[in-house]
Amino acid sequence: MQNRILNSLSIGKKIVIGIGSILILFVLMSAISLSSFSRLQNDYGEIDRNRELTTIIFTIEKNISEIQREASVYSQTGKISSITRMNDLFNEVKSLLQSMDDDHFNGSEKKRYIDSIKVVISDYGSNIKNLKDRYETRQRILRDELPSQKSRGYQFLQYQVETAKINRVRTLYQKMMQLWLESYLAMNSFILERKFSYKQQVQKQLIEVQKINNKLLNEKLINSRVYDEFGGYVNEYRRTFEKAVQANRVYLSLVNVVMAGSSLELSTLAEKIKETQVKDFRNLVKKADYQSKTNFKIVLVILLGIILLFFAQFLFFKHNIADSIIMLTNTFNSYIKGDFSQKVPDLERKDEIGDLARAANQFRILNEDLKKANAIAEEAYRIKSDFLANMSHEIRTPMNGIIGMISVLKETELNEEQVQMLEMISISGNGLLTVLNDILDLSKVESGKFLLESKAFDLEKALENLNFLFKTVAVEKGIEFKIEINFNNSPKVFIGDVTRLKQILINLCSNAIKFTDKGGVLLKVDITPSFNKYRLRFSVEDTGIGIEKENIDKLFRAFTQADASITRKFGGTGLGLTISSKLAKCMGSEINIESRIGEGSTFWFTVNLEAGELEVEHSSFEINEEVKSTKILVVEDNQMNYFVIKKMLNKLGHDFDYAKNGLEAVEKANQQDFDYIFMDMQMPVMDGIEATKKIREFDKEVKIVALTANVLEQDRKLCYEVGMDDFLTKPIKLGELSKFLASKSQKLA
Amino acid sequence: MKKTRREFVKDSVKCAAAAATAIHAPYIIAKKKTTLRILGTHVTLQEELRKKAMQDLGIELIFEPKGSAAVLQKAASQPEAFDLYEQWSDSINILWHAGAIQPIETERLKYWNEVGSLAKTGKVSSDAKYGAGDNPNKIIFVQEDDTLSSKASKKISFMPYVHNVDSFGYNTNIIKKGIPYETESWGWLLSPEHKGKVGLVNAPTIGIFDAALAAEANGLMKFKDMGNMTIDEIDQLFKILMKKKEEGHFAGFWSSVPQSTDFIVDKRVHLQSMFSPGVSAARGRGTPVTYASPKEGYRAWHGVMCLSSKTEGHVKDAAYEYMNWWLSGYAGAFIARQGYYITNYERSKELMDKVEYDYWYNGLPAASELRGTDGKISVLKGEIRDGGSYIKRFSNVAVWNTVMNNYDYSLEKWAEFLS
Repeated sequence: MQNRILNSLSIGKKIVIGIGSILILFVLMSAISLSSFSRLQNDYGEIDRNRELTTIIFTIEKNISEIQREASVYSQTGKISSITRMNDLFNEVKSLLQSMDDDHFNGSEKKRYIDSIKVVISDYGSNIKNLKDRYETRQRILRDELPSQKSRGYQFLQYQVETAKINRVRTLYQKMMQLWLESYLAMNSFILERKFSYKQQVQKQLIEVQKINNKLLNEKLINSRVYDEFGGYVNEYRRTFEKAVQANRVYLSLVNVVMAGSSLELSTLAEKIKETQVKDFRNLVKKADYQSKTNFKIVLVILLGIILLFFAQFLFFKHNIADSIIMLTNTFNSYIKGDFSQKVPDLERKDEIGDLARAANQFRILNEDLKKANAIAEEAYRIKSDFLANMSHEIRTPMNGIIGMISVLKETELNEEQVQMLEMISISGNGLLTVLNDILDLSKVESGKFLLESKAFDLEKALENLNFLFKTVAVEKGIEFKIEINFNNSPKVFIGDVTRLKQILINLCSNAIKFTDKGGVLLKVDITPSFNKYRLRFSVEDTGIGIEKENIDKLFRAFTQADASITRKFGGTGLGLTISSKLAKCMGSEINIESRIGEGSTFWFTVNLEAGELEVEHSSFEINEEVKSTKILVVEDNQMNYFVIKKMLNKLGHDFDYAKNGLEAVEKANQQDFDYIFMDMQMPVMDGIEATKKIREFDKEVKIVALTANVLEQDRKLCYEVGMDDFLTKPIKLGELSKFLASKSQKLA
Repeated sequence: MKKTRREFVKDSVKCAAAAATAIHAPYIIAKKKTTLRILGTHVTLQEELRKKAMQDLGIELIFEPKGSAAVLQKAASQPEAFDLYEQWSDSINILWHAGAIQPIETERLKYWNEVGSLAKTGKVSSDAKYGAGDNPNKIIFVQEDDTLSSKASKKISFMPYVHNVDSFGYNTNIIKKGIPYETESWGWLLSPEHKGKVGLVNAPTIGIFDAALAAEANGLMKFKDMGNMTIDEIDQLFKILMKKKEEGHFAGFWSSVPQSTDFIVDKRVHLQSMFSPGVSAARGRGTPVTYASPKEGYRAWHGVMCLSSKTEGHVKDAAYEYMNWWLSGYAGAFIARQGYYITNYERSKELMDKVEYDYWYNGLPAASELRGTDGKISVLKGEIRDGGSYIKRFSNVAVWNTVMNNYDYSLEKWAEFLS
């Protein structure tokens, strides 16, 4: 499924997805890093705010302690400068509070403490305002009211002492004066030391004073007016003292309880904030540490992911693209080499590789079609070759009759006219045979069944044969024929197919002679060394009619002559040059032409041959017309052929027997001794090949010679393989048979 | 018949409307509202009461709530700055001697006859402890010579109204719940196991007794008369306290009820001197605070409503109306839901559900869940009030909030203690 989706994407898209996914991871990694930075920045901001807060809280705490100290100083000295200083310090606290940016701490423990601090400070502020009032009230009572009350009472008592007429009255008033002053001292002691005993003392003394006053009245030593006046002084004195006590308490409760409590609470809260700050800072550090470690891990994981992704993509692209391309390339290469057995991979893919694969597949399909067409063509060609071979065989059989009979007939008594007519028949028969052989050669060369021989031959001897062949014809035509060999110190024996070499030269020479009416034909051979071989340049020059340039190309095409009229004028099958050209190609050469109309033509080609040595037995043989009578078994199913050979052998004076198929031949060979067995190949009952095999089972001596219309190379090979000694082709002429038997008998002899 | 809260509110409005028509017609006709300035603490100066009283009386009320010491200090020195003063009985000596307040005539108090025995005799029942220190009964009646005593007269230094017993509250999430009157002890406040998590109230007339009870409970010292400590005893007590403070035993000294709530809710303290509303508020904020019933007995207090010595004329009349309003039932029922007792509780009983009354006054398990004055559930079904019934609690008074003879000396020591 996944694969299908992937394969349906183009390579471009795959690359975009691949690079894109890595890019996304990189962006993610960068984002995490950036967020980490911004968090760090926030943390720094947080630290900064906390630092600022700490500074403010410390300053506030410091100022409040300072105020508290000033309050103590003020309590001792009553200096107004202390109040000013306290106000200044408190104003600073207020402005610090206002400047505090505590919104950042909303919802936190810290914020709660800050809010508590604000409440405490707001209460504290109103207390400073009251402090001066309370102090002044206390001081007014202690410094003014109480002393003035004391003085008023004292002055009254002093007056009474001074104006007393009775000793007892004076004495009592003096006692009262003493108590009065003592109570004043006790009052001051209480205010200073706040011990209840002083207060009790005051109460006792004032009660004592009042008692004496009562005694004075009761004893009628004073009148009620004086009594009441002093009673008023006593009550006022006591009330003023109570007032002083309360003023002192109020003042002290403000300083010692309310303000001290606020101050303490403030330092407690400041301490709490400090603790929280430390805790927060630790948490921040811990958080930052954790965050950075986490981020590091995340980045590491992403990095690992990138590497893995990269690797996965490498594998994917290698497997999915590079390998596919390699496979496709290999497929193309094997197709180029002609091997279409491989199937094209990745045909189902939808991307560019899929397109290439389908193109390759199309190529493969086309090639298979072509192959089929080729096979059909080859088959047609094979059928043509087979047809030609068969036709050759079928024609040769009657031709054997005709030509054989002519050669036999020539040996009979004939008149002039009959001789002439027989000559005409002979020429026609030979012409027909030439055409047949040419067609067969061409067919062989074209069908690729043609094989060159590699045998040592004497070049001079081979060319001598040609001279022998054409000298007479040239002389008859009134032109010159010359052979010229420039060995240039080279050896004279080479390894090659001399028969085919001669076939080319014969063809070129016969053509040259055919198209030359005056002057002559020169066959020239130049030999030069070429590496470890020798380069033989053969040229045939004539002084004939020449060939037009535009016709030169057509020369080597089968059944074509430079001019159709030439065939009519000069005869020939028109196959000679085609066959020569193809033979030259088989030898790795090419026939070249230089020609001028009316001046003549030069046909030339070169072959590279190794030097060789001749086998002694093949060195030479003499044709001896003297033939010893031999015993021959003719194996032939065709009556006419048998008739021809019978006539020839009779003529040549050989003793022979006859078998009409292979089986008969085997039987006869078993019963009698023969010098030669002339064996046809295609026969009913048992063919020549089978018969030879059988004969060879019991007779290795007898010379078995194939006499057959099967002229193809494979036929010859087959015959030799089963043990035949020689190979003669039909139609056979009397002369040839005579020559063959003569040469054999010589050897035998 | 059991009344729902809704019916109660309706009835209250009717009553109030009737009262306004009957008694206060002249002020309505005058169309100029009298303004009454009331100085006090958060305990009684509550917005709901202010609105209700304004509505019922047709007068303007200005509440100025402050911390105990601050309130006292202001009232003592500036009688012209307030008309009525609401605080504890320990303020009386100071205010009275400072001449900041004037006597209240019992004849002008409509419900004086209904006022319970505690203020009049100093005991809720014959078996109850009188308690050390200034039982308010000692300082309520104004004598001919302007002194204050328990001897009945027609002039009183304060109108008795709200009262309660205090102890300490503790967070049962942290401290295992104890058994009332058996294991719960003032000694916990100075116990080393709570070091750094103890709070005290910043008021020498109150806090000194919590500390003294704690010191005595732990066997650190003994008092001859805790309600009237000697200089030596004070020195010894503060020596103990200052040593503890140096060791970091105290986490804070609170000056107001909301502050005390913050202390315990924020876990700044695990146990501390507390007032009843602070306990309720902390519970309302989800902190399970138990109000201890110490085996040594409670520190009791009595609310006092005092008339400024400078208040006269129609403002004084309005002040008497406000005092009468307070004892007319609604306010008593209202503060009962915050755990306070009212001196003439029989009048408020009529305005409370039986379930409520049974819980708050009779110490019975709540038959249903109860709502506080803020409308939130303050008592769950089945809960029993810490310390039990009104009688039980007030029978166990160890000491009254008191201004001792050596108060002036203790003030100095308190300052040393705080600094």
